[in-house]
Amino acid sequence: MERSAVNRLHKMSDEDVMEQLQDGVVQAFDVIVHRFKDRLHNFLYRYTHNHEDCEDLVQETFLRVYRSRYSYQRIAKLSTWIYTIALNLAKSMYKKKQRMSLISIHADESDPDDREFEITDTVILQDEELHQKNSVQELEKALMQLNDDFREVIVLRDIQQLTYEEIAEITGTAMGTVKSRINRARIQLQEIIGDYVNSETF
Amino acid sequence: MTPENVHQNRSRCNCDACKAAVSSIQKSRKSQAEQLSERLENIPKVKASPDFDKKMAARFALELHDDINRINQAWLRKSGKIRLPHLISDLRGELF
Repeated sequence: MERSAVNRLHKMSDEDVMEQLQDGVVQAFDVIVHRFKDRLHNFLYRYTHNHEDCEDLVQETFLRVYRSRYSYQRIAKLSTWIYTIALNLAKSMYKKKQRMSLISIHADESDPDDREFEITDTVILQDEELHQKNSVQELEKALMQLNDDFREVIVLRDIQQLTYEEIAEITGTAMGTVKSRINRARIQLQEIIGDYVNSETF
Repeated sequence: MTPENVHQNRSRCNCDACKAAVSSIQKSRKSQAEQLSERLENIPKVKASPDFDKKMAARFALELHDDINRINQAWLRKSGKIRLPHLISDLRGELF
Protein backbone atom coordinates (compact mmCIF):
# COMPACT_ATOMS: atom_id res chain seq x y z
CA MET A 1 0.00 0.00 0.00
CA GLU A 2 1.23 3.45 -0.88
CA ARG A 3 2.42 5.75 1.84
CA SER A 4 -0.16 8.36 0.86
CA ALA A 5 -2.94 5.79 1.23
CA VAL A 6 -1.74 4.96 4.74
CA ASN A 7 -1.62 8.68 5.53
CA ARG A 8 -5.18 8.97 4.29
CA LEU A 9 -6.19 6.20 6.69
CA HIS A 10 -4.62 8.09 9.57
CA LYS A 11 -6.74 11.14 8.76
CA MET A 12 -10.02 9.21 8.68
CA SER A 13 -12.51 8.95 11.52
CA ASP A 14 -12.48 5.74 13.58
CA GLU A 15 -15.65 4.57 11.89
CA ASP A 16 -14.27 5.19 8.38
CA VAL A 17 -11.10 3.29 9.24
CA MET A 18 -13.24 0.39 10.42
CA GLU A 19 -15.15 0.49 7.15
CA GLN A 20 -11.83 0.19 5.33
CA LEU A 21 -10.98 -2.86 7.42
CA GLN A 22 -14.34 -4.35 6.53
CA ASP A 23 -13.49 -3.72 2.88
CA GLY A 24 -10.31 -5.74 3.27
CA VAL A 25 -7.74 -2.98 3.79
CA VAL A 26 -5.51 -4.79 6.29
CA GLN A 27 -3.50 -1.64 7.10
CA ALA A 28 -6.62 -0.20 8.70
CA PHE A 29 -6.07 -2.67 11.51
CA ASP A 30 -2.72 -1.04 12.38
CA VAL A 31 -4.40 2.34 12.53
CA ILE A 32 -7.03 1.03 14.93
CA VAL A 33 -4.34 -0.56 17.09
CA HIS A 34 -2.37 2.68 17.09
CA ARG A 35 -5.41 4.73 18.15
CA PHE A 36 -6.73 2.46 20.87
CA LYS A 37 -3.80 0.56 22.37
CA ASP A 38 -3.03 3.02 25.18
CA ARG A 39 -6.67 3.74 26.00
CA LEU A 40 -7.43 0.03 26.21
CA HIS A 41 -4.30 -0.67 28.20
CA ASN A 42 -5.23 2.01 30.73
CA PHE A 43 -8.77 0.67 30.95
CA LEU A 44 -7.93 -3.02 31.20
CA TYR A 45 -5.14 -2.44 33.69
CA ARG A 46 -7.84 -1.55 36.26
CA TYR A 47 -9.01 -5.14 35.97
CA THR A 48 -5.75 -7.01 35.78
CA HIS A 49 -3.30 -4.92 37.84
CA ASN A 50 -0.68 -6.81 35.95
CA HIS A 51 0.98 -5.51 32.80
CA GLU A 52 1.49 -8.89 31.19
CA ASP A 53 -2.13 -10.02 31.61
CA CYS A 54 -3.25 -6.60 30.54
CA GLU A 55 -1.22 -6.74 27.35
CA ASP A 56 -2.63 -10.17 26.53
CA LEU A 57 -6.13 -8.83 27.03
CA VAL A 58 -5.47 -5.80 24.82
CA GLN A 59 -4.08 -8.06 22.08
CA GLU A 60 -7.05 -10.39 22.41
CA THR A 61 -9.43 -7.43 22.18
CA PHE A 62 -7.85 -6.31 18.92
CA LEU A 63 -7.98 -9.81 17.49
CA ARG A 64 -11.68 -10.02 18.40
CA VAL A 65 -12.19 -6.67 16.71
CA TYR A 66 -10.66 -8.11 13.56
CA ARG A 67 -12.54 -11.40 13.77
CA SER A 68 -15.89 -9.73 14.32
CA ARG A 69 -15.26 -6.83 11.95
CA TYR A 70 -18.30 -7.61 9.84
CA SER A 71 -20.64 -7.50 12.83
CA TYR A 72 -19.75 -3.86 13.52
CA GLN A 73 -22.37 -1.43 12.30
CA ARG A 74 -21.94 2.31 12.03
CA ILE A 75 -24.88 2.99 14.31
CA ALA A 76 -22.46 2.73 17.23
CA LYS A 77 -19.22 4.62 17.74
CA LEU A 78 -16.25 2.38 17.08
CA SER A 79 -14.76 3.21 20.49
CA THR A 80 -17.97 2.10 22.22
CA TRP A 81 -17.93 -1.17 20.34
CA ILE A 82 -14.27 -1.81 21.15
CA TYR A 83 -14.77 -0.99 24.82
CA THR A 84 -17.70 -3.44 24.93
CA ILE A 85 -15.48 -6.21 23.60
CA ALA A 86 -12.71 -5.29 26.05
CA LEU A 87 -15.08 -5.14 28.99
CA ASN A 88 -16.56 -8.54 28.21
CA LEU A 89 -13.08 -10.04 27.95
CA ALA A 90 -12.00 -8.36 31.18
CA LYS A 91 -15.08 -9.64 32.99
CA SER A 92 -14.55 -13.22 31.92
CA MET A 93 -10.87 -13.03 32.80
CA TYR A 94 -11.70 -11.49 36.16
CA LYS A 95 -14.18 -14.28 36.94
CA LYS A 96 -11.60 -16.88 35.96
CA LYS A 97 -9.04 -15.21 38.25
CA GLN A 98 -11.49 -15.04 41.13
CA ARG A 99 -12.12 -18.75 40.78
CA MET A 100 -8.38 -19.34 40.72
CA SER A 101 -7.72 -17.20 43.77
CA LEU A 102 -10.02 -19.44 45.81
CA ILE A 103 -7.27 -22.03 45.61
CA SER A 104 -4.70 -20.04 47.57
CA ILE A 105 -1.32 -21.23 48.60
CA HIS A 106 -0.53 -20.79 52.28
CA ALA A 107 2.88 -20.94 53.79
CA ASP A 108 3.58 -24.31 55.36
CA GLU A 109 4.52 -23.50 58.96
CA SER A 110 6.18 -26.86 59.47
CA ASP A 111 8.56 -26.18 56.62
CA PRO A 112 11.41 -23.82 57.67
CA ASP A 113 12.18 -22.94 54.04
CA ASP A 114 8.60 -21.95 53.30
CA ARG A 115 8.46 -18.44 54.63
CA GLU A 116 7.40 -15.02 53.49
CA PHE A 117 10.06 -12.63 52.30
CA GLU A 118 9.87 -8.96 52.91
CA ILE A 119 10.79 -7.14 49.75
CA THR A 120 12.02 -3.68 50.51
CA ASP A 121 11.65 -0.86 48.06
CA THR A 122 15.14 0.41 47.41
CA VAL A 123 13.95 3.52 45.64
CA ILE A 124 13.77 6.36 48.13
CA LEU A 125 11.08 8.78 47.10
CA GLN A 126 10.80 12.45 47.90
CA ASP A 127 7.94 13.45 50.23
CA GLU A 128 5.65 14.89 47.57
CA GLU A 129 6.33 12.01 45.22
CA LEU A 130 5.72 9.55 48.02
CA HIS A 131 2.49 11.25 48.99
CA GLN A 132 1.30 11.14 45.39
CA LYS A 133 2.27 7.51 45.05
CA ASN A 134 0.43 6.62 48.26
CA SER A 135 -2.59 8.58 47.21
CA VAL A 136 -2.76 6.81 43.84
CA GLN A 137 -2.21 3.43 45.46
CA GLU A 138 -4.91 4.19 47.98
CA LEU A 139 -7.32 5.08 45.19
CA GLU A 140 -6.42 1.99 43.19
CA LYS A 141 -6.88 -0.20 46.27
CA ALA A 142 -10.24 1.41 46.97
CA LEU A 143 -11.30 0.88 43.36
CA MET A 144 -10.56 -2.82 43.67
CA GLN A 145 -12.87 -3.01 46.66
CA LEU A 146 -15.90 -1.75 44.78
CA ASN A 147 -18.28 -4.34 43.43
CA ASP A 148 -17.98 -5.14 39.72
CA ASP A 149 -20.89 -2.97 38.56
CA PHE A 150 -19.67 0.06 40.46
CA ARG A 151 -16.03 -0.31 39.46
CA GLU A 152 -16.98 -0.72 35.84
CA VAL A 153 -18.89 2.57 35.64
CA ILE A 154 -16.38 4.55 37.69
CA VAL A 155 -13.48 3.39 35.54
CA LEU A 156 -15.35 4.16 32.33
CA ARG A 157 -16.55 7.55 33.53
CA ASP A 158 -13.82 8.99 35.71
CA ILE A 159 -10.72 7.29 34.36
CA GLN A 160 -11.60 6.76 30.72
CA GLN A 161 -13.73 9.90 30.53
CA LEU A 162 -16.53 8.33 28.51
CA THR A 163 -19.98 9.88 28.30
CA TYR A 164 -23.00 8.50 30.15
CA GLU A 165 -24.49 7.43 26.81
CA GLU A 166 -21.36 5.49 25.86
CA ILE A 167 -21.22 3.81 29.27
CA ALA A 168 -24.89 2.85 29.03
CA GLU A 169 -24.22 1.29 25.64
CA ILE A 170 -21.05 -0.51 26.71
CA THR A 171 -22.52 -1.95 29.90
CA GLY A 172 -25.92 -2.64 28.38
CA THR A 173 -27.75 -0.73 31.12
CA ALA A 174 -30.17 2.18 31.14
CA MET A 175 -28.71 5.67 31.40
CA GLY A 176 -30.54 6.30 34.69
CA THR A 177 -28.97 3.18 36.15
CA VAL A 178 -25.53 4.30 34.97
CA LYS A 179 -25.92 7.71 36.61
CA SER A 180 -27.17 6.28 39.89
CA ARG A 181 -24.41 3.64 39.90
CA ILE A 182 -21.79 6.33 39.37
CA ASN A 183 -23.16 8.39 42.27
CA ARG A 184 -23.36 5.41 44.57
CA ALA A 185 -19.94 4.19 43.53
CA ARG A 186 -18.38 7.58 44.29
CA ILE A 187 -20.00 7.66 47.72
CA GLN A 188 -18.77 4.13 48.42
CA LEU A 189 -15.31 4.99 47.18
CA GLN A 190 -15.25 8.06 49.40
CA GLU A 191 -16.23 5.92 52.37
CA ILE A 192 -13.51 3.35 51.65
CA ILE A 193 -10.88 6.07 51.32
CA GLY A 194 -12.19 7.65 54.52
CA ASP A 195 -11.72 4.32 56.27
CA TYR A 196 -8.08 4.23 55.13
CA VAL A 197 -7.49 7.74 56.38
CA ASN A 198 -9.13 6.96 59.72
CA SER A 199 -7.24 3.73 60.20
CA GLU A 200 -3.97 5.54 59.46
CA THR A 201 -4.77 8.50 61.71
CA PHE A 202 -5.85 6.58 64.80
CA MET B 1 -42.51 12.40 65.83
CA THR B 2 -42.18 13.71 69.42
CA PRO B 3 -41.06 17.30 70.07
CA GLU B 4 -37.70 16.01 71.33
CA ASN B 5 -36.69 14.22 68.16
CA VAL B 6 -38.37 16.54 65.69
CA HIS B 7 -34.99 17.64 64.27
CA GLN B 8 -33.46 14.17 64.28
CA ASN B 9 -34.49 13.39 60.72
CA ARG B 10 -33.36 16.64 59.17
CA SER B 11 -34.26 15.66 55.62
CA ARG B 12 -37.93 15.40 56.66
CA CYS B 13 -37.98 18.45 58.87
CA ASN B 14 -39.10 21.68 57.26
CA CYS B 15 -37.55 24.21 59.62
CA ASP B 16 -34.99 26.64 58.17
CA ALA B 17 -32.12 25.36 60.29
CA CYS B 18 -32.61 21.76 59.13
CA LYS B 19 -33.06 22.80 55.50
CA ALA B 20 -29.79 24.73 55.68
CA ALA B 21 -28.02 21.79 57.32
CA VAL B 22 -29.28 19.35 54.68
CA SER B 23 -28.28 21.66 51.87
CA SER B 24 -24.81 22.13 53.35
CA ILE B 25 -24.35 18.36 53.68
CA GLN B 26 -25.48 17.88 50.09
CA LYS B 27 -23.08 20.59 48.90
CA SER B 28 -20.21 19.06 50.80
CA ARG B 29 -21.00 15.60 49.39
CA LYS B 30 -21.14 17.04 45.89
CA SER B 31 -17.80 18.76 46.26
CA GLN B 32 -16.27 15.58 47.72
CA ALA B 33 -17.58 13.63 44.72
CA GLU B 34 -16.15 16.22 42.36
CA GLN B 35 -12.78 16.07 44.09
CA LEU B 36 -12.80 12.29 43.95
CA SER B 37 -13.70 12.36 40.30
CA GLU B 38 -10.81 14.75 39.67
CA ARG B 39 -8.41 12.52 41.59
CA LEU B 40 -9.50 9.51 39.56
CA GLU B 41 -9.01 11.46 36.36
CA ASN B 42 -5.49 12.31 37.46
CA ILE B 43 -4.40 8.76 38.18
CA PRO B 44 -1.33 8.32 35.95
CA LYS B 45 -2.29 6.71 32.67
CA VAL B 46 -0.94 3.25 32.06
CA LYS B 47 0.38 2.86 28.54
CA ALA B 48 1.15 -0.11 26.35
CA SER B 49 4.77 -1.28 26.45
CA PRO B 50 7.17 -0.09 23.71
CA ASP B 51 7.26 -3.51 22.08
CA PHE B 52 3.50 -3.90 22.07
CA ASP B 53 3.25 -3.07 18.34
CA LYS B 54 5.79 -5.74 17.49
CA LYS B 55 3.97 -8.41 19.51
CA MET B 56 0.60 -7.34 18.14
CA ALA B 57 1.91 -7.43 14.58
CA ALA B 58 3.18 -10.98 15.14
CA ARG B 59 -0.16 -12.16 16.50
CA PHE B 60 -2.02 -10.42 13.71
CA ALA B 61 0.23 -12.03 11.10
CA LEU B 62 -0.68 -15.44 12.53
CA GLU B 63 -4.33 -14.47 12.50
CA LEU B 64 -4.10 -13.44 8.84
CA HIS B 65 -2.28 -16.65 8.03
CA ASP B 66 -5.07 -18.69 9.65
CA ASP B 67 -7.64 -16.53 7.91
CA ILE B 68 -6.10 -17.20 4.51
CA ASN B 69 -5.89 -20.90 5.30
CA ARG B 70 -9.57 -20.94 6.25
CA ILE B 71 -10.52 -19.15 3.04
CA ASN B 72 -8.41 -21.53 0.98
CA GLN B 73 -9.88 -24.58 2.69
CA ALA B 74 -13.40 -23.28 2.16
CA TRP B 75 -12.62 -22.60 -1.50
CA LEU B 76 -11.14 -26.06 -1.91
CA ARG B 77 -14.19 -27.65 -0.29
CA LYS B 78 -16.44 -25.75 -2.69
CA SER B 79 -14.37 -26.67 -5.71
CA GLY B 80 -14.22 -30.39 -5.01
CA LYS B 81 -12.59 -31.32 -8.29
CA ILE B 82 -9.50 -29.25 -7.73
CA ARG B 83 -6.69 -30.89 -5.78
CA LEU B 84 -3.52 -29.18 -4.64
CA PRO B 85 -0.31 -31.13 -4.86
CA HIS B 86 0.57 -32.64 -1.46
CA LEU B 87 3.76 -30.68 -1.41
CA ILE B 88 1.93 -27.33 -1.35
CA SER B 89 -0.97 -28.28 0.90
CA ASP B 90 1.46 -29.67 3.44
CA LEU B 91 3.75 -26.65 3.53
CA ARG B 92 2.36 -25.39 6.82
CA GLY B 93 3.31 -28.61 8.50
CA GLU B 94 6.84 -28.14 7.25
CA LEU B 95 7.06 -24.63 8.60
CA PHE B 96 5.94 -25.26 12.17
